[in-house]
Amino acid sequence: MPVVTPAPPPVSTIAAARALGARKMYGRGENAVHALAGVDVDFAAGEFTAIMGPSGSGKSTLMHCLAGLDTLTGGRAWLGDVEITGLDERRLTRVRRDRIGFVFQAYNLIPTLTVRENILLPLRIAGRRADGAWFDEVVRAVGMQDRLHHRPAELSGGQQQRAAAARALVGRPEVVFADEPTGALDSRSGAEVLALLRRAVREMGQTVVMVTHDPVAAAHADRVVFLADGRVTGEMADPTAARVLDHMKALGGR
Amino acid sequence: MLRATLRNLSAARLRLALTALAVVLGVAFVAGTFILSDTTGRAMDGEIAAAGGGTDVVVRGAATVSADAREPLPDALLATVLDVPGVSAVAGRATGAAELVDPAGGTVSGSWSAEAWAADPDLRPWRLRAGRAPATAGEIALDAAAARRAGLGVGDRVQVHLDSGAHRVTVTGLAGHGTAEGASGRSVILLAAGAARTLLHAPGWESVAADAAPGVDAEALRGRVAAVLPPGVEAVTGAQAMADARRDADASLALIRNSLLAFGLVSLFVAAFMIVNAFAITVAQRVRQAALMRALGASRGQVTRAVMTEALLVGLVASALGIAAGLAVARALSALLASSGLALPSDGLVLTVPTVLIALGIGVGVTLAAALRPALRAGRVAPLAALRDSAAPRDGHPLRRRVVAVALTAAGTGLIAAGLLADGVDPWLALGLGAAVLFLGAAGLMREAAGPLLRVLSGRSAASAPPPASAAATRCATRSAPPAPPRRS
Repeated sequence: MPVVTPAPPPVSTIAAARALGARKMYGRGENAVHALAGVDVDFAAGEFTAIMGPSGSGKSTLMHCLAGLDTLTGGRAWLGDVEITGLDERRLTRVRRDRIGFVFQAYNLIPTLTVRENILLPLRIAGRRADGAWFDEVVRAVGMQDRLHHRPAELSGGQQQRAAAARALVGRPEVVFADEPTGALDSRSGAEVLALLRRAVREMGQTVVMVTHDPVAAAHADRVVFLADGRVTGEMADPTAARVLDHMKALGGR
Repeated sequence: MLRATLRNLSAARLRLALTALAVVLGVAFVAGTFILSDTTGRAMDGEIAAAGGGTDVVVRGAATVSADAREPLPDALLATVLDVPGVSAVAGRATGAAELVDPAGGTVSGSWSAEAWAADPDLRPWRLRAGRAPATAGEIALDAAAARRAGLGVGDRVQVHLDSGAHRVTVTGLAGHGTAEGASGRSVILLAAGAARTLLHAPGWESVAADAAPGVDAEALRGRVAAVLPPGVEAVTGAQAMADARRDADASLALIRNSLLAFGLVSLFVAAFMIVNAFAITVAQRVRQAALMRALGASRGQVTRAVMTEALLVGLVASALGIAAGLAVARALSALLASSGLALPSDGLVLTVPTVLIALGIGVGVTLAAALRPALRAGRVAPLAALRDSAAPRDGHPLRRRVVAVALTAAGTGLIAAGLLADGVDPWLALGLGAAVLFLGAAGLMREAAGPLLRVLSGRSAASAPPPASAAATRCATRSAPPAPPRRS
């Protein structure tokens, strides 16, 4: 049986990312839609957390707002010790550049650049030099050492997503946000990418926050946070696919 | 970032080539115009120096009766000037329209004119290369280069048509112009000094050139000559006369140059619209890429600069090609002008540093200015667009835009037709305005056609209902993404 505990209040230790009373409203007046209706959640450093919920639960919105891609209309959000609530566009850009790595569902590699150039792109944008040893380690970890001079179009979806993961990891960000990273992959490639994220957390001490609707993907995480109707409805430690699925069914049945 | 820019450029070769072509054409016209006018200017300077170099004093009507004519001078004045102490020789100058008919009865092509042969070698640019100078009304000398082109030689009998009528004459000599084989850009018939005025049906001499005796100062001689002249006639030094001739030549050159430049600027105007379109399409195609850059932490400025760098490279390469093409344009224009009787020299094109700088500046400047708006738009793309399958932002009202584009095209066409056909309309103004309006309209239509065109060019069937340009651009944009459409949670 699923063990579901209520969402805990935010703890005072520094989390890698945190939302407090986070609200996001689209539209105005009677047509207003609350994508986030007061979310309190912490994402611990060095942990792999999955955010789950049905369509429209606000899980993507939550991730966008924590990652500085979108702004809250109410409440507060932190990235490490930096409060990102109310930062202007320029500062948010810098936060994304220096503190965040992204893995997108659609990989979003630049087709005209080689794998190596794609992986180094965030550092190039930031005007930083790559740490050669770290670059090699990341590339080995994602298993792309033999594909560095290929173009994305020459790679399979799984390989492209692994390259995208390397791009997210190479800058040693405080948090890697992954938005449905396995959504476009077959189950085997998806499992490889998830194992890779898992290893990044365990072996590199990386913090990973992943949005997914797939219980199998969520089972790779240390912890699952469930969202429904813009609220946190529960969380689960050491999830398995079966328990996550059961919980989702329970949510859907309400 | 620069590498991504370069890769983007090489990845979009067709669009790039079309964009660059527009700039190349515009710059070629501007550069060609300057090259042509510099080349012509140099040749004219050479002609003027050869024609007037040995003349110390020029006597001419004080008042100009038209742009390039003065009051004619009577025969008696030749003797008056020759009597002035220090004058060693005088020659009356007279020129007129001419045509040459060869022994077989065919008109000899070329831009022909006739002028008087001055006896004193210091007072004429012509140097005999064969035969002897014409001495009677039945004899002529020919420009040696023109004679070679016409296949004529000493002793040939030809017919000349002058303002006084047709005359059968014998070619007694062939003459070079200074050290050149002939006058540049024209063909000259040389008439005996004593018969020239009658043959040319001239009311008098255009001017009288005087040569100073050895050791006589030109300015002092000018004063002595001026003292004996009747009212309404003036004496200037040869140097002054050459300066005046240069000024007149420059003025007529400027007229040609400015009308050619107008064409160049119109073509650059067109180029600007093509660039705006090309970069707008580029940016629409790469909305996701720009958004990705922004999501990964690139500032608006960085994204904008990436597009502007692209524009700078396109502008530089296209302008350089345009200058090279300008040399060809200059040659073509000079051939065109020659065929319409306005012969200009075709040897040794002059490419000056200012021409290169102006052409580069205009080409790069126009490209950058035209790319600015799309570049700024690229910078404003929301980073969230990288995660969403959102369409490129659409602007304006498509229907109204199309109506305006069609109206402008029609108005421009009408103005051009009016300029070509209607009386009482300044043709240049109507043509220039018409061209500008037409190109505005055409650019608008091109923009509407860009979507379907892109799909055709990218090898897709245009059979389905044509989508608006932005939808097509998005389709192209998503083509660079993996096949599975991203799902939103």
